[in-house]
Amino acid sequence: MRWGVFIVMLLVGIVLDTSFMQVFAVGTVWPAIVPALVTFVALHATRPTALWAAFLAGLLVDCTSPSIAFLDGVRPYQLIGPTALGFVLGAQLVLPLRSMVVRRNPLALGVLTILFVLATMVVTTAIYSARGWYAGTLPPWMPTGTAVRYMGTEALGAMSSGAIAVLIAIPLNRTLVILGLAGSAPWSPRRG
Amino acid sequence: MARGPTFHPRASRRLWWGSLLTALLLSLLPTRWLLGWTNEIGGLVRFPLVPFQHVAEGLRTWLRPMPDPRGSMPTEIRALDEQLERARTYYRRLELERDDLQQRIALLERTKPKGVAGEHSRVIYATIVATHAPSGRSVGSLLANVGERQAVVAGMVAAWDGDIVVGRVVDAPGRLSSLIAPVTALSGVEVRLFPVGRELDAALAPGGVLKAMPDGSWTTDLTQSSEVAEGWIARVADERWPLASRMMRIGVVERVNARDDAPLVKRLTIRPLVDPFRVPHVVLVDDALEEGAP
Repeated sequence: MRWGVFIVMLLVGIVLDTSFMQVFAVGTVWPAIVPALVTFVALHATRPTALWAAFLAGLLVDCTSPSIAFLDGVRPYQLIGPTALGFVLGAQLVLPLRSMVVRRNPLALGVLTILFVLATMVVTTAIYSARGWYAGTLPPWMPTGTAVRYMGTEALGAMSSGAIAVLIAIPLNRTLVILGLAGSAPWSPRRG
Repeated sequence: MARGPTFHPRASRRLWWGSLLTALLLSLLPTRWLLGWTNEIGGLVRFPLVPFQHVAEGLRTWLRPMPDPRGSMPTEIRALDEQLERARTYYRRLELERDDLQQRIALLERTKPKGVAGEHSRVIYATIVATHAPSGRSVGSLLANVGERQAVVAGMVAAWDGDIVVGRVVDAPGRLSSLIAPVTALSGVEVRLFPVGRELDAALAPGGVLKAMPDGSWTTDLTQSSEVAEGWIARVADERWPLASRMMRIGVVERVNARDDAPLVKRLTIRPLVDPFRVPHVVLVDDALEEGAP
């Protein structure tokens, strides 16, 4: 895979996710593009490349998503790691499933993106729950919500991300050559 | 076909597991240890993205603008309504200042309190270039395109449409950007409640402390004897906030219910007047610096 091209696409995805995707908001839920991009790479790249791409994408998402702590006032910080680990688990889920689907089919990308986001949600919710024990650190669903309700909202977000993935699948398929991912399937002996 | 660098399998595996363990360790580090240095890393990553986020945000606002409750009004009536609301806010603030001054005079027997802030406020125009809403909308943050260089300081109040509170600048603003905690994430704010359509003296207005709820609303408890109805406007009356922001509108009473466990108390549900995550630009408000202050 051409990492430079992937990183540029990733940064474009992060810019759109943080500043533009609310245009598709329904209530309090809106889709994200980065999970669809990582799922797309996981469908077409070799296993190590897909896992590293998921890890890098998760790190960048973590670095661009500030959190707020209530320690000696309201103070910002970056929680680096939860999304990176979540994306890795999501990619691990997609990798065994990719040989069962038609990789260029938009619906396949949509369904796998939903699974990818749900797997990510499991990891991030677990980490936020653990961090809830620390002083001054509230999980996103606190003070009076529940983790289940939070996961419900995230699951709706997963559905919307899957819908967006279906829409962007065709333009993404056209980038396979510049991403250096065109050719036989990664698990094919012809890929070398 | 282009390929990435090849590593020895064992070295590659060590690097992979080392990265995963580092990420897990960082994920679980106590928050106090993450303050400061992680924010600098985040600032470095976000810095080059800000101009592009600005463009994307502009495009979003153009495609799906903020819903305007005055949209159906004729232009002249709309302008008059805006002026009326701002005048009302200014009037309430003056009332509060008057009460404050009277208290000082009575208690401290001073003829003229020194340096009363709020007569002159300091305002900075800012564009919201990115929003982060990890859990629905109750907690999250807004990124504004102004920072220390534009004299932004922690605690400044972000306002929309002149006098509607959107959030507050959190500690340690960056050099060229600053984070705003959305109003829905703020808890413990003291407010006073005013009816719509008739005047009520600020000293007589019932007050309460807002408690944030996960759905982006607040609750506050009042005694049954307090006269409050749905549609009343909640205005900031918190002494910890800049004087220039006091009496700004923050929410509207959505429901008034009796508490089952405390019959003498009624619980108000208050909804923010504006969705902070859809505001394209804000004015940051603070008290004016005194002459000669650094």
